[in-house]
Amino acid sequence: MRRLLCALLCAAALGCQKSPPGDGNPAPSSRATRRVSIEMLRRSFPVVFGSDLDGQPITWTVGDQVGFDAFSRALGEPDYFDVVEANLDPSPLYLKFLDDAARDGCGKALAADAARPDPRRRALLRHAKLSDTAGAAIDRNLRYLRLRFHGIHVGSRDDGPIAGLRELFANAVAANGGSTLEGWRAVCIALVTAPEFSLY
Amino acid sequence: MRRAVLLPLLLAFAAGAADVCAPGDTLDKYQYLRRLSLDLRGRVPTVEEYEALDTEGDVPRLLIQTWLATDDFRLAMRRYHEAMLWPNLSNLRINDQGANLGAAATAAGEPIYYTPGFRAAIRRGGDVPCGDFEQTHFDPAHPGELRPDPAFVRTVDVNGVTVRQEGYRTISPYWDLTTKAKACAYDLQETAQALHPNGRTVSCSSREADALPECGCGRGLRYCYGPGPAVIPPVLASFREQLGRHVDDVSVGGRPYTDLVLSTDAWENGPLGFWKKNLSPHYSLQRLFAMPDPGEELPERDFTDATFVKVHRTPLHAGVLTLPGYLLRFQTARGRANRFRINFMCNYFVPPAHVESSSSGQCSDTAEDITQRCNCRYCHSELEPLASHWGLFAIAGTTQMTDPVLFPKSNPACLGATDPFCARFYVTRSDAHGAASFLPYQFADVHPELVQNLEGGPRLVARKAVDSGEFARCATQKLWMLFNNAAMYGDDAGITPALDGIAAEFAGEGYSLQRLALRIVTDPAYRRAR
Repeated sequence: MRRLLCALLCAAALGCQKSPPGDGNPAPSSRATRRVSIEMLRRSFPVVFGSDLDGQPITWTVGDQVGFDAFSRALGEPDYFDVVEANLDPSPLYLKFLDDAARDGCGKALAADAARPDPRRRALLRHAKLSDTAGAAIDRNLRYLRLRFHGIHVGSRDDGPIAGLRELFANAVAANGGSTLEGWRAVCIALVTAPEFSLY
Repeated sequence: MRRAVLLPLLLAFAAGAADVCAPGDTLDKYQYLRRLSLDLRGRVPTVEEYEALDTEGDVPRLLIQTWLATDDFRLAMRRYHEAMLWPNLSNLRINDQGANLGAAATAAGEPIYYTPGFRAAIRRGGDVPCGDFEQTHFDPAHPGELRPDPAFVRTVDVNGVTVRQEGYRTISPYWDLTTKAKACAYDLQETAQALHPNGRTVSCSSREADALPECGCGRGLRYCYGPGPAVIPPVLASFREQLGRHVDDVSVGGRPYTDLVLSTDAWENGPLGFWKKNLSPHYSLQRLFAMPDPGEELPERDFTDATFVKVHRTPLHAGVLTLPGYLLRFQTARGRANRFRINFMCNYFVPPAHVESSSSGQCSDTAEDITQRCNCRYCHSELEPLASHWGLFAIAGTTQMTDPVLFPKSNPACLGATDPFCARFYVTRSDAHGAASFLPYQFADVHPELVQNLEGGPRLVARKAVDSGEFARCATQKLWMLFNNAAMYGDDAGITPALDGIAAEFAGEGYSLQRLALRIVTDPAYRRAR
């Protein structure tokens, strides 16, 4: 968790250097990395997780409330009454809530996918079946998930950006008695809690 | 999977995954799409949108333009402007005590609405509601006004006091036209105007009418505040929505961004129009002063009509700067001016580096004029003239105080007076500067420029900011900051060639917020990888 936080903080601090001048005038500063807002998470969760079997967009829920609403204040969302500025710090508190949200959203999305025979209608398991434990289908699905969650396009001959996820999948399957569902759950949570999901 | 099992696996992945610290030159098209989508639409792209790029050399400019016309962009711009305008008014008390409806109960426990307190006492001779019977006879001497016929008002003894009690009538209250409710007949009198003991004819919706027994709450109880949850929250929510719609006009509605500070139109729905016409005239001198402006357009609206339509406001109005959502969030002229200066001129007041002393001969420690007082003058010499643009809009209120009969520039009757009107609006101390002056004009004799500012209103200062280019530069600077999360030149505010160029384009292209956004998100700086 500390390394993850470090990566977030490190990334957030970068991007402020001036670029070298081109036409004699200094070029404007590069865009600095920013953490997504709670509103963006609220609106992005249904995009990455799709819908449940009732057709309802999947989001993080706590009891009968949307988690992003229930913890809006704690997550630093402004109400323009007491709080007038969004807190976009990649704080441990943010990571803790995101972890909770990821577990909840991933669980729902996998449950829905497992019940959908048509892979084109699945959010997470579009290119792999639960019976696949290794091989090309796993890699293809991991590439797809990197694109879906992070907007990172991984070419068919490029293994680097999915190597860590492949290892995570294999380890999670092994640690859970061969359950590929748990393997994909671990991959999904890793994708949501990765810096590439929260920073842009 | 239990957390204890998953955590080490996730940590191992995280340690190897994050190459976020490595700087690159330019984002690839997929990452660029993600950045654009989050900034312009407030959400990540769908996987189908990413996959559509496989056959494109880059993110098509047309796609960005399309996104800039979406409802997502409208919402993103609302959020951006909410951070500037802080439109949460949920703590406001817009109702005045004298116009609140209370509820008695029938024998069956059904509520009977009436106005308790002073108004009940002058109608019935005691602070009691009407009786639990239906009023069926009305005074034929006042046709159409539904005044209870005195011959059919009973006299009863309540706790040793003899009072007059009329019956109730059953009506559809304005806050829910689909239901039937009982209300006391005196409170349901539909008299529109009545002669006040001061010799003036007053509207029965006004505060002065509290003292007139022939005035009631009007048809459907329209001049009185119904149950809090049914009436006040819809009005407060509409203040916020009204501001938001003004922002929509300049984000996706095709209006120039200058309309945000110059437009004299306003969006109004049923709750707002109804409140303004029927409820706000019952102003408060202790709380909000929000009676209609002189000459204000007051169309007839049902309280329950959620449809927003545009209404024209008087010429002193200026975009969001005089909407209730702004005036009631920033309740003083100084607060309104400071917020304008921050939002639309990109200027912030900062404390002076050195403490001043009157020994310098440049200022006074005791000057009544705060623009001359040591240390205070550092900000107030600029703030006071700026604030005077809002001087004719009531502090803690919305009313444009330009009616010379109600608000003469000098009112000698207020000297030494302690009544709430004089105390609120006039210099009452005879030894104060500008004694008896209408407060906004107190220092007009020594600061003649204030008069022009007062009478030009916020429009004048907004127009000056637009004409000087300051408005365009500030809008550019802020939107750049929003999308790039960095000032254009870091802290070096003195170097602004690119800012000047983009701001000039923005102004030259009719202050189109969409074009400005397009310009910024297609700038190489936006696309450079961290």
